[in-house]
Amino acid sequence: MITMDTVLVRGLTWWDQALFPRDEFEERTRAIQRVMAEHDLGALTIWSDYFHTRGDVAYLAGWPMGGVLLLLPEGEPILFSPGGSRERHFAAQQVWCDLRASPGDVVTPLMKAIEDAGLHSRRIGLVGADEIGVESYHRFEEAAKVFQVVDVTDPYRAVRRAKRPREIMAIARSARVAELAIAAGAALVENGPSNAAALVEAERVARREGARDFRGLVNSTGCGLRPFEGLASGEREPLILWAAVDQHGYWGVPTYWSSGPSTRAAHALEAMLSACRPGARVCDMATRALSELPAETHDLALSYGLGSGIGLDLNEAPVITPQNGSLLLSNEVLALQVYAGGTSPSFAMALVRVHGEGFERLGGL
Amino acid sequence: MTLSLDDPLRRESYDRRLIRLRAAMQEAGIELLIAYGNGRHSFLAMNPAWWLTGFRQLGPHLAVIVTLDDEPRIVTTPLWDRGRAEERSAIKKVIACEPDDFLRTVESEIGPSNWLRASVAVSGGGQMPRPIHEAWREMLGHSIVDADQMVSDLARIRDAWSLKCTRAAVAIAEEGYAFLLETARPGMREHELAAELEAYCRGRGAEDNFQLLSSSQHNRNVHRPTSRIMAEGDVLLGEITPSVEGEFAQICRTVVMGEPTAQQRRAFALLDEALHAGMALAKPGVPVADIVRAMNAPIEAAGYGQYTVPPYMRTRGHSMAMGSTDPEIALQSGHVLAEDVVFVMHPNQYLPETGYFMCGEPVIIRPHGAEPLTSRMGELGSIQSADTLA
Repeated sequence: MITMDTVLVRGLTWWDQALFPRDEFEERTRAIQRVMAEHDLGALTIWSDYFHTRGDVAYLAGWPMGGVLLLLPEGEPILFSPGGSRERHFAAQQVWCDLRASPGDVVTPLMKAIEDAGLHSRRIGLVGADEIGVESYHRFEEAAKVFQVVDVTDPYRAVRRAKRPREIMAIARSARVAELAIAAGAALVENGPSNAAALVEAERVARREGARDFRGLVNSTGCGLRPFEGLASGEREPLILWAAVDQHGYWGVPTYWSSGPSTRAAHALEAMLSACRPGARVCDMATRALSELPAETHDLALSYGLGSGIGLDLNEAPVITPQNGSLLLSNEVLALQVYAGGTSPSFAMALVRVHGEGFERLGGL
Repeated sequence: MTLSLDDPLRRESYDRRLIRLRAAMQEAGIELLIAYGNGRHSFLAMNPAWWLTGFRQLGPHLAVIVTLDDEPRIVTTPLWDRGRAEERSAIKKVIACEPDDFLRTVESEIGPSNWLRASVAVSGGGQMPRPIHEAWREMLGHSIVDADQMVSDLARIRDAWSLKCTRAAVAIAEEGYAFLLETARPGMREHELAAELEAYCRGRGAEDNFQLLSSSQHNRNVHRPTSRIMAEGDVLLGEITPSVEGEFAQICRTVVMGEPTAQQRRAFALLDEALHAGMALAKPGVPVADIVRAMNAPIEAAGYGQYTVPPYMRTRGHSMAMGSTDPEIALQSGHVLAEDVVFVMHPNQYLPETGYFMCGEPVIIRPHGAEPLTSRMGELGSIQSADTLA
């Protein structure tokens, strides 16, 4: 997959209650509380790095906010944030749940809330264990040793995999911004400036259109795709511009974009899509894409990645690889891509919702 | 403003960093050091891998393997980014692999059996994911020294390349602020202004640019941009933080949409006085807690002592953290200033009559006190609103 540096997010930060009204989060809460009941959990804790958030917390909090979220079998979630008290006033306006700032230490207030709740079960669920800092993890491990801690990351993410209608709308809106961005970048290159300048223009447009975060790569110098590292970079043809946009926490890529008509990458992408339908094996999509590419370019295509699920995280399950035998689910959203290397590299990407007898393209201008 | 990879200063500085690191390892009895980067680049945490290599990784893992004698090497992810790593890394032996193969590849490069009785250290800048943290112990089979402080102590004294990059970032920040004054208008949304400023800074050569940018008639604090439409009488707060070759530099500015009131001028003058008091005292050997007291003194004397603590402010300054998060300019900090340390000093805070105001400069510590790195220190800005957007 295309992996990118995770920088500090600084784009539009505002909970759009028309897109995500409170009842949406109440429904999600009830869905997760049913998962808790299935696993006989007295409490569920969901963890995220403070500055580099994962979608797990956002799914219930309403906004990608760092910290630990506590959910009990009844009632609404509580988000314990390690952020400072200065930030609390603004942060509390982004989430629908109770936000409790506890600078530097979320474990102590979390465990107190768990104790105060008087759990019916001594089993505590944990989501995102790898996101917990070393120190916090050891403190949590010590404080929770009277409980049975159960990692329920997989069943939790299984609920998140098929997208809810409002999530699909949000992804489509992000896709629209990504399309505007990439079109602006491509238009700029036609007028002369370098490929690197196209990336700057794409980011400018994305942020003006309301991106919370932006990731972009371009074929500016040397081989392959690169991040922006200054305008001194030269030009390469054709322009290959990869862009992903996060708006309101949801990532999107363009509905469809190709570095040129009828390229190897475009053919491989179409082959991949021909296998895309609910119940299909993920590996079959990968195999079809590779079958359209020369064998010597397979390793590079797989290193860039053939795509994955997309939503509150840029790279979600399922990852499209020849080894992934999992089945596609109805209503999961896939960001698919092919980088076809060789003497004339090409690139194509698409955003689809697995749906009905096949798929539907998502977003669009 | 983009700096050249062929700049001799860059080569010399990275060579010197390795020499100094090895000397520090020898002194501490460390035979093998792994500097780890998790790909999360910001000024909030040090990035030892970038500081040693000059290479901004794209993938989730990068390890710099340094011994006392062998040629240093890096193991970076993902595989497709190898070409850029070979081009940009100051450490020339580059091994690239996919993220899933990272630990296996590092293990193969190190040969853990060679280090069974050796003293091994890891520096991850406090950003090491727990599974990676635990993997080092499993791989190397014994206790591992945390080398963050060792790297930080070397990095906090800026070398010539670090200063050159920092100065370039400061210049972009100042030009960015001038651009903001030209661009911001009543009728514009906060996030639209932030987008234009971001693109401007990128266009000037910043590979990253963190910014907080928010407005209000009475700001409670500064925060990320919202879709709020700016209007006459708003106070616009801007924290502009471009990065050049990993070196961030920050300026903090306050701008009034219209003519500032006498009250607003007094508020800014008070914070400016606090900033100058801190800068005058900030000399090598001075504890940073004393700097905080010096900055707070005029604010307390004006009757605002209760506002010199959170939630009315956050900190009086901080390092910009390519290789070191020292010093934090806070009362509880035990840091003592040294010559050539660089940080942003900012008495940003809330005052009851005017709301939150910002006034901050990047400074370098010299024998006579803190020198601003900016060509012109911040003043209370004003945007005349004749050109209100429809």
